[in-house]
Amino acid sequence: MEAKGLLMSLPMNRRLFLHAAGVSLAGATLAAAGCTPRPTSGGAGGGAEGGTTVRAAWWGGDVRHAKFNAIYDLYSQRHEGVSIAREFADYGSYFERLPTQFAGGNAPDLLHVTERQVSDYASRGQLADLRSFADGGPLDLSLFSEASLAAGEYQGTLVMLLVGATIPATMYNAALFAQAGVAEPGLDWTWDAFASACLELAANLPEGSLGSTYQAISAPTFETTLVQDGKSLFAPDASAQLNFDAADGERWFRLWKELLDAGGCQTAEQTAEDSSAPFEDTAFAQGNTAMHVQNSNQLVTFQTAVGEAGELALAPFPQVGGAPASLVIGSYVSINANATDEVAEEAASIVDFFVNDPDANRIFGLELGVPGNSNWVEAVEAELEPVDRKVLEFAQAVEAQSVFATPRPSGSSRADSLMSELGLAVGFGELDPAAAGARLVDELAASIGAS
Amino acid sequence: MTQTTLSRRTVAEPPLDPPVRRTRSAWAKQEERAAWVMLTPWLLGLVAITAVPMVASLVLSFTDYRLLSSPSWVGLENYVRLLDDPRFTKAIGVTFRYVFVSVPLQLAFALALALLLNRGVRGLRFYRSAFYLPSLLGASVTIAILWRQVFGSEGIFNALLGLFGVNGPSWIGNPDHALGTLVVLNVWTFGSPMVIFLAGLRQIPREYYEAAAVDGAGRLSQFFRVTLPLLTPVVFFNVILQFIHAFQAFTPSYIVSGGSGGPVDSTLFYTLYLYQRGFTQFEMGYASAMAWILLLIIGVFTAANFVASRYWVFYGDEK
Repeated sequence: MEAKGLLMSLPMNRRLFLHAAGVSLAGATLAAAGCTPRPTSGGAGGGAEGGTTVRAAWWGGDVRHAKFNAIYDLYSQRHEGVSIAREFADYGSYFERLPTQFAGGNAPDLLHVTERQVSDYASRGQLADLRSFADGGPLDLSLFSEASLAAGEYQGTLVMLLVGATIPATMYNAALFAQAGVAEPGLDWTWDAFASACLELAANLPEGSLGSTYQAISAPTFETTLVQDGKSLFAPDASAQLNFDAADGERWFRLWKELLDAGGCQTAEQTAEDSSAPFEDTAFAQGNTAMHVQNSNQLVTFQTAVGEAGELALAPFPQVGGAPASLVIGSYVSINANATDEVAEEAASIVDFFVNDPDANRIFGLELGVPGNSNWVEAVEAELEPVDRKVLEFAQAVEAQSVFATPRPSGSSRADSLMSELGLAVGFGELDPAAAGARLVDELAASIGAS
Repeated sequence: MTQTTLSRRTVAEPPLDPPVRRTRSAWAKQEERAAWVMLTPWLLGLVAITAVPMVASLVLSFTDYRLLSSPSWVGLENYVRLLDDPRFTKAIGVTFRYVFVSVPLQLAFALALALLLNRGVRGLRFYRSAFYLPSLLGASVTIAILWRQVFGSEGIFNALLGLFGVNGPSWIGNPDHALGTLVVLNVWTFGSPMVIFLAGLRQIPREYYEAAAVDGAGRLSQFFRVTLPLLTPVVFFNVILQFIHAFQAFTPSYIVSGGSGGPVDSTLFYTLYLYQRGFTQFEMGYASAMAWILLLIIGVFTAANFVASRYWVFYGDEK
């Protein structure tokens, strides 16, 4: 039996082997099919439709999805034979999926990114040079400001085009300021003015209302204070280096801890609860704090939540560093470098439509913030809602002190979660500001692999 | 199955002449082939969905793999790095606290209710389903969201405390209590072990209780001398199952803490940290190493449980 079994196993194995080979061959073919940019041309296969399909992806909520869909529908209407396959998700899921798609070779042709993720893809040559579509091509960049184009460059190549810039700014509830008899903030206010406003507000508003939310947990806000000193979280050239030190972190945590201890802002407990709650349940949206720090383009969202109870307005984050400055965060559009020439060309034409066509501009409005091209602003200016007008006017008012965030190195995504952990640890008194500053530098350096 | 049938026949029947023998063995072979064919979908699933990814993750655990760049071999580096990763240590601590507090509580609760239901309550079917319901819902996103509403600073629980003049904190916003709310959530899903306990209780012959009663045993001593010893195999089964389940808990913390494991890492479950490393920081090699450590922990724990079971689990056929 044994010997027979052994003999039997030989042909069996060969058969198995052949079988396995067949399976893996089929698998490889499938995989190869998956890797190849999708069939696009109106050639033999796609004869029926006879057009090009461009896969477009973006992140956002329902309002934004509707706008994207309307614009892409309009484009398809005007360009017969072009269909735009769409995929979208909320910010978190979108950026969880994107690296997997790139790793698997099935990333969308047209995608949206920010300076936080761009170098992950740009450093591996995954994003097309947008200038190559500009000279004589479908993409008109002539009305973009120098600053906005420079912000979309990675090591000299234009890998992403600004579709909206937003500023982490102080949002304040003017009604609560009036109620407490506190003067509204100006463009050049300092941390001391902010802190005393917080205390006055807490003192003069009814029980349960506070001056501000606790923002020690916010990395973009911290970076705003770094920019005021000519620094930033990471090296401006996206190399694996930090561009601040532990003392900067300590200063940041100490300021907030002192304000918290003085009763000027939310407690750590409330902050922790808010950080996992839907935004309309958070303290500022509920009208329980007079100030909050948020991206300026979110003003309309918060105004909707606050409603009639108070009119919201924007001011820069107070000056902590050497000179007043505001950090500008961008949302950008990119084209997948792996797309076939035909698809890439069509994608560039869609991008051009998106940023330069007045109808598209009007549909999108200032959804992602202030655009980088003057014609877009002109197209929407006339019919802006009052809230959006405030966002635009605020961006224009602080333009002189605005500094674009630069592409971050790989591993930088840890910045936000780390800041939130350390900010809360300081708030709960589990870490003192000096220790938190040191941890911030150590852990952030480790996560980007800084030498 | 096939083999035992075959051997029994060989023993029972007198020696057969070769031709018949060949036919039977051909038939057996055919039956075996049929078995394999029937098993194919399951086998394909096992290989493609479980075995291959597991081996791949083992290999990846020895690499530095950032998803966008190809993996590079680093040997044991990921495992070494784990040893002085403070958040890893924290995650282990949180998970162990969660497992060792919530599972015993949950099982005690399940057993208590099973005993109650086993006393011939009217409407047993209704109660059984009602108590089982949380087990079906407990790990879901909806319930985790509900939990946030219940235990938030303005939540139902504090409103209830307010009736008694107690001003409760934000249970989920406070690092001292946040894990506690997740323990309560897990205890609340006592339904599935309860149903199993109930089935176990039904298996215990009435006569034992009658005999015990004749010997003068009271309720309490009946429970400790009859019920519990005869129920130990079921207890053991529930212990193993619920412990493994609790080690792998993810959703409650993910939803209640908004994916952060906060406040201040107080609800940083092992699997949540693994997820953060793998899917928000894209360190797949590191995450794979973590996955294997978790498998090891669960394996060691389960093995230890089996060894210990020799000393406390009583099977009816033992003397």
